[in-house]
Amino acid sequence: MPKVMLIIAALVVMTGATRAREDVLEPYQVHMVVWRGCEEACRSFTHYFESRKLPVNVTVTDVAKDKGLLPEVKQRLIKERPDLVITWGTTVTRSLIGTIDDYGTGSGLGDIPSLFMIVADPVRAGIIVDHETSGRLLVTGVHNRVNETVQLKHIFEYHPIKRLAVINEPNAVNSRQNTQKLAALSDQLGFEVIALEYSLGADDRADPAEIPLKIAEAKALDADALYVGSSSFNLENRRSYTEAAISENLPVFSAYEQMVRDGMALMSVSNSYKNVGKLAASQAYQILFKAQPPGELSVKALERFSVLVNMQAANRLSLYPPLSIISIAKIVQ
Amino acid sequence: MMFSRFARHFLLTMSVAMSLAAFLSVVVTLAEFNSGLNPFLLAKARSVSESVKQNLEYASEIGIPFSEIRGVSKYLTDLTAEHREISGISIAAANSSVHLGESETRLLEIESTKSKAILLAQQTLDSISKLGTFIFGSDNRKQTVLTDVVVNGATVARVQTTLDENYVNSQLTSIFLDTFVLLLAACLIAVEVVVVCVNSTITVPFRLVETAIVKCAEGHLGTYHGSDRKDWAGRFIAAMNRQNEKIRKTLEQLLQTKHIAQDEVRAFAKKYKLYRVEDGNKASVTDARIPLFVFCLADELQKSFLPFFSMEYYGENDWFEKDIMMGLPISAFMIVVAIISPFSGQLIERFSNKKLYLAGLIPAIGGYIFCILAQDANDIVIARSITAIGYGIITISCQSYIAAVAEEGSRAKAMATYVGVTMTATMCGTAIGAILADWIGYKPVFVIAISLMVLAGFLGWRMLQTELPSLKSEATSTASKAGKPFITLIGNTQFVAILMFCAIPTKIVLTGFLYFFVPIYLASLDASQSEIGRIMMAYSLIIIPISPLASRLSDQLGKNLSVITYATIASGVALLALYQNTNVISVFIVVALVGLAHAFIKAPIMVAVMEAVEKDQQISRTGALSYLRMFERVGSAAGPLIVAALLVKQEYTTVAAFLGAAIISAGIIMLLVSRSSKQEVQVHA
Repeated sequence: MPKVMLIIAALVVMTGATRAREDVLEPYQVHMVVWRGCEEACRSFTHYFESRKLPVNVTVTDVAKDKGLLPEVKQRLIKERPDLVITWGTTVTRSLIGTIDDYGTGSGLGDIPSLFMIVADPVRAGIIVDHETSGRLLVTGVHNRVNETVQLKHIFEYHPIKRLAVINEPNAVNSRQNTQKLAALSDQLGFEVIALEYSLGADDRADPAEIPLKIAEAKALDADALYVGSSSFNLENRRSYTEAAISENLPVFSAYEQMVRDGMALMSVSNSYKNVGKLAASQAYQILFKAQPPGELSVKALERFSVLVNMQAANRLSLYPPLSIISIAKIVQ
Repeated sequence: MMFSRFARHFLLTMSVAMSLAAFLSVVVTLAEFNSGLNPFLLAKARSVSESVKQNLEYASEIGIPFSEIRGVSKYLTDLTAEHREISGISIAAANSSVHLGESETRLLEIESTKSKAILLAQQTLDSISKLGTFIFGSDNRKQTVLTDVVVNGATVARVQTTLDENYVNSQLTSIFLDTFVLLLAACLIAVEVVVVCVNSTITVPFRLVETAIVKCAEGHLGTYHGSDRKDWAGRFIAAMNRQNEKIRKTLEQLLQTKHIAQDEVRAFAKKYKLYRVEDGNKASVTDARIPLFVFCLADELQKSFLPFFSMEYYGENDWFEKDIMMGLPISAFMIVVAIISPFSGQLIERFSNKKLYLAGLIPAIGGYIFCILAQDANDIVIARSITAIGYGIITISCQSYIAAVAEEGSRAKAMATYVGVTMTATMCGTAIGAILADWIGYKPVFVIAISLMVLAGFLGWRMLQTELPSLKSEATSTASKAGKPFITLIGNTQFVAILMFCAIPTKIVLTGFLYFFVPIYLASLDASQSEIGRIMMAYSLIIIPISPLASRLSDQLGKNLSVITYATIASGVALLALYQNTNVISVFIVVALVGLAHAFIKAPIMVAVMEAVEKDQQISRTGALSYLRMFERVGSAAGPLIVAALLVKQEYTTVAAFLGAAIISAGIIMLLVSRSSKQEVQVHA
């Protein structure tokens, strides 16, 4: 009986002999470890090499949100020694590559180069030293989130807000860091943050049934809107979360596209995961084919972002987007 | 005398003709621009109207009731602010005169921020363009664009976009200034060519013929100078020489006749100088003028875009950060020129100016080829450093050529020719290079620069003379003392003082203030790129006409040292005026004043240096000039670094004031040093 239930999807992207590299006979081995399935960023990453017929084998390991699997995956990677490890998400990255506090300029994966993506705030998570450089010899990555100031400016463009509520799981590091960021910006942008937390059950997880209660509490505290910046729990329960918000006549603004596409959030300001995956692949290309040491590559961010507006939510809240938002947003009906 | 008057008249006629042509072309340009611009502006207004219409229709399409569309006024105001050609946009419902929204007008704001002088200038240009329209064609300008908003097949509203007349006027001003700049560059180049053409085809032949005739009239019947020329003057003088030859032959026949008193014949030959061969001075300042001009013009083509060229080729593997790599080609160029200058001075004393000039072209052109092949910013730094070797050799070679052929009393004037030529080339090269880069890209400009350098080589080969009288004598006198020139120079207090307290500070102001501080400060005051260019050009514009006048004055006064000292102090005082001053016009005035002060330093400093070493038997003029150039380049390389370091801690205006105070202090120290050395001389006397 296997101790570890791994869903391993091996997406072999092999290349045609026509454009084979002269200096390397074997294709490069890239191992990607993802938190919750091979979604858009993961698929876009593999597609990058596939479409260019580059000699790269991408192996994807999905830990299916089970933190307990990560130590074993780490050991396996160190044993297999792929040419590059891609880590998807903050939890995976912190477990495999580790933090600066733990490893300094080194990495939890020893001398295996690694590249992270879909990490909400890699600086606050202790993975890199600053926004642009990793400060670690074998680590680089890409940012996936739109800067909070940009998000808030678009939110305020849509609807003037004095009090913005956030509801998080108390044990979610990302969520806490995101709330801290909002609080830091509140004086400058002239708003107040109402920070609420779900209670945790015996399994250390929040109960979705508590969502409407917390939203009602936010309403009672005179919140003008809700914001979901970085919260896997709220994202997973997006339908019940946004429905509860609408029933309290509170608009939801989010950094996740899915909250708008597959929920009733009013607006999202986000980067598409597809583009994040492509950006990560271009960084990987530099490491594999241009022999660039990861530590010397800057941690890149996308320069463009997308604004999504859910018209059903707008109708139900009677809060139509202003003309300036209509001119830039994608409308979801 | 007569011919120099003719040449002056010729120049005057040329200048008047060029000015007239310039004025007419400005009128045509403005008229064409004014009528030609309108369709483009209307097209822009139409596209803005169209985007407003589409957004309104889209809002209706996604289910927003037309009357409930929010943020219309703000959206229109933002859109108006974004498009400077538009003064306002309004939306009126189709079936009533009610406005759904309109942008806030920015006319009042514009009017209040502009000074009366600028408005007056714009009105004048508008009048000129109307004059042009009257002469060259009709004016049918439209001011508004109307677009219907259609929802479900019915027109529900109308978007009205109005063009901003002030924008058109400001564009006219800017096109006028650009045309003016180009015409000025063209005129200056034309003047350079005319001066040399007049000199070689009119003035020089007439002078030779005049000299031959005057000599003949004075009873000098020997061989006149100039018969080797292949033009009409050469033929004329050759004919005169043949006549004199006949006299000589007749005389020789007479000498063979026995009954003629030979003493009388010899006395006749002596009286009429029958056997004297006139030897004219072949070399003149004009010889170096055109080759130097073409070379400098070629090298200055890159000036306006070199930092952007480096930025374009910047890669992650380059030596330093992007910002540093942007400035490094300029600094590296200055440093290499500083290092090469003293060597080239010594080389000139060993070889001839002409040989060195031609040899200098090899690294100069090589550097440009390397620039074309450059793959990253490091390559550009190396390429510029290679060109700098050639630049250093060629400029010193031309400078010492001019110094050598200039007569004793007019050295400052001759040096002013050198300064004038390089300044004109700087101004024209920078302006033309920017336009060329805009049209054809950066690298093709280097190809043009190479072609110009080849032309400069050809001109130098044809025009420069190998035999230079004064330099020759100097070379023999310095042959025994080439050993330790720099150590000797350090002992010369006056020379060292000029370098430390005048030459270096002047260059720090030039590169640190003018080339580095002014652009970034003006950008911080929201000045446009072309405004920055024009303000920087004011410096050259002042220097070019004032420098010869200043050096003539300095020559007449015979006090070059005092002139450069007070000019240094004046440039510092001008910088002080920027303290707590955040006005674009003030920056322009300060740049012009600094230009004025530097006009009094440019050429006189070379004479002051030569005077300082004159009494010293150990040092040659060429050597001293090389060291002057070297120290000036040190100042040039240090300038941007000093200003950048100051800007890290202080505000712009404080830095300008600090720099001004430092320059004043240097000038005062210079004053004290020159006074004490004068007293010393008096005591010794």
